Amino acid sequence: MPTLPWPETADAAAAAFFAAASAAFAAARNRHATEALWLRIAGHGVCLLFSGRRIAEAIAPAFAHLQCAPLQAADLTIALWDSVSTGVALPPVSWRLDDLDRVGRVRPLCGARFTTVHEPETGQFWTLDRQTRTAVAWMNDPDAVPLWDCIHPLRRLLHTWARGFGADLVHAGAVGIDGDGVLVVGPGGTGKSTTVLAAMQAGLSAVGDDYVLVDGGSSPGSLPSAHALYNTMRLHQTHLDRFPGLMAHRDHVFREPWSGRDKVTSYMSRHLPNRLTPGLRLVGIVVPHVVEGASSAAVGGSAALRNSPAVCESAAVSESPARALLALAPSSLLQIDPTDDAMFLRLAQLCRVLPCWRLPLGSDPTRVGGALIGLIKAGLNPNRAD
Amino acid sequence: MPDGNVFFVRPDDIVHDTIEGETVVIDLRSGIYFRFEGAATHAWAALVRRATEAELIDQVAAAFVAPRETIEAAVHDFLIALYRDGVIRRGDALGAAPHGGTAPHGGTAPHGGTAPDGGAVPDRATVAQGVTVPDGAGAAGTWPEPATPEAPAETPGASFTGLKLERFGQLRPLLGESDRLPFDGMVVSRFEDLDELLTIDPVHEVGGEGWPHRQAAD
Repeated sequence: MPTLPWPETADAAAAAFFAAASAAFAAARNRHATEALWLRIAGHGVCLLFSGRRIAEAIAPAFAHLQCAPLQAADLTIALWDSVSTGVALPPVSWRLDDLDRVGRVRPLCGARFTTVHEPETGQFWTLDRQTRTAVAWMNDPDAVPLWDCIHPLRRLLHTWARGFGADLVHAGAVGIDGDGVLVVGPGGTGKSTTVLAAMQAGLSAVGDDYVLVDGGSSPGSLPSAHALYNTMRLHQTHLDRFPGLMAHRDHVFREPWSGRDKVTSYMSRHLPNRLTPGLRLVGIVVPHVVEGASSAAVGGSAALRNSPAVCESAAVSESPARALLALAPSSLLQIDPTDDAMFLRLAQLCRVLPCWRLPLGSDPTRVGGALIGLIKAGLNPNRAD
Repeated sequence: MPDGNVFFVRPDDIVHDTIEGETVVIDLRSGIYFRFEGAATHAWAALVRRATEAELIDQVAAAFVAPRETIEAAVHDFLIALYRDGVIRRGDALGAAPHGGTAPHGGTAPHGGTAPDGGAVPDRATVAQGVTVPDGAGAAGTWPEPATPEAPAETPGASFTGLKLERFGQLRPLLGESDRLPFDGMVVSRFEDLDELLTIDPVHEVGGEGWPHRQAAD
């Protein structure tokens, strides 16, 4: 289903709704003090305007590492308010069931200029005006927003905006040193976070743990880069125990009902602020791979990892671009936008242009950092046998 | 004998690409994804352009060295594996997709052949993590019901409008015997664990009390 262009009538309806949403935010702003949080995302100035403290407390920590001084103008302004704090409701909006696509886009309110999305899983609603580079986002009750959305907020909105400058929000981590780094890919539970934390322990910098923006690399001569979005890290407590002194403070704990094991969420900016970097040039893609049960753990090896915390056991080996794509694309597409066919091709191109490695993980976390540094050097000089 | 039905890639919500001879296919509707290479990649390239089973067999046989019956069985199982998950559809020569069609051949597909290098040809398209496409699929004269609803019949002459196929060059023209590659089966690695992989991620975890709840910081 194409999203662009839509008939002009769609933009007219979308413009009317955007104006109503903006007026509602203004009304909320009149009732409650507004907090502004200025961010640098992929070199772009982004201003988050919160009406109500609770919504700021829910969303702002994830972006703390990107905070910057107020700028003269913003490349994107997102105005956010909630009804519980401000008493201001979302403007009336109605649609037929078949007006919504699978990612919640409200088709009659989407066009070349506007995108309007209802996210039923979080109860949030947002509308983006590309022309004025402004978005208005609403939620009813910040305390009712799922934890998983608080720690990675506004994903689809930011992805939609980032497409405007050629970037994709992907489900991956990124770590590196001296401005060069690798994308760490794999679905949840395959060792991504453990690899990122082990890298940080070894002195490497992290762009992100779960989601980063990736741009470039789609045309000859352009270098792909990873840009930071969230400073959140999530890890099983048993895995975190292998990194004593690191991420000692747990910001959120979630107990898996099926395993009884705790999974920890922490904001890296609070615990490892000096190990965060806003961006890295990408020189390769790393697919963590659990040694135990290795034959089934290359892709979809979550069961093996859950039972055997990951650490580097042996040297990395080349991985085929297709297998790297297999580790990167399905979870990225299905979590961010399963209707974005072209995103798959962009991710495939990324896997084509970058060397890909499989990083075996075993029982010694101190070896991961060294292995990653070796891979980054190899990526910088592909002809050198490292 | 294979009939004249044309097989083609489902025109919606299927993304795919082939890199260095390995093909990745994702069904964005079901979340199931696939990887294959070799003769399977060769056949996939033909499927993207639409092909009958006989045409696929001819094309694989022209590019790979194996007894004809071995290739016939492998191609058939390859089609079954993709058809069952709704990744490909079949229709008449104009592309109209019948429901509940009849197998291209009436009997059980021959399988279990031996490759020229002595290696066993898989009986069925096998999948990753020990899962195997069940026996009986495509045998006994009946095609399995695809996992996803049939798309509306396409208009005659309509072409696949999804992602572009790269590396058409992998479709080898008729080659001399010495140019053909060893045939090592048409194994399809199939992954349907994405729901699990998303679920174990706390971003997606839902406890008995509803969405994950916050606990006080230490």
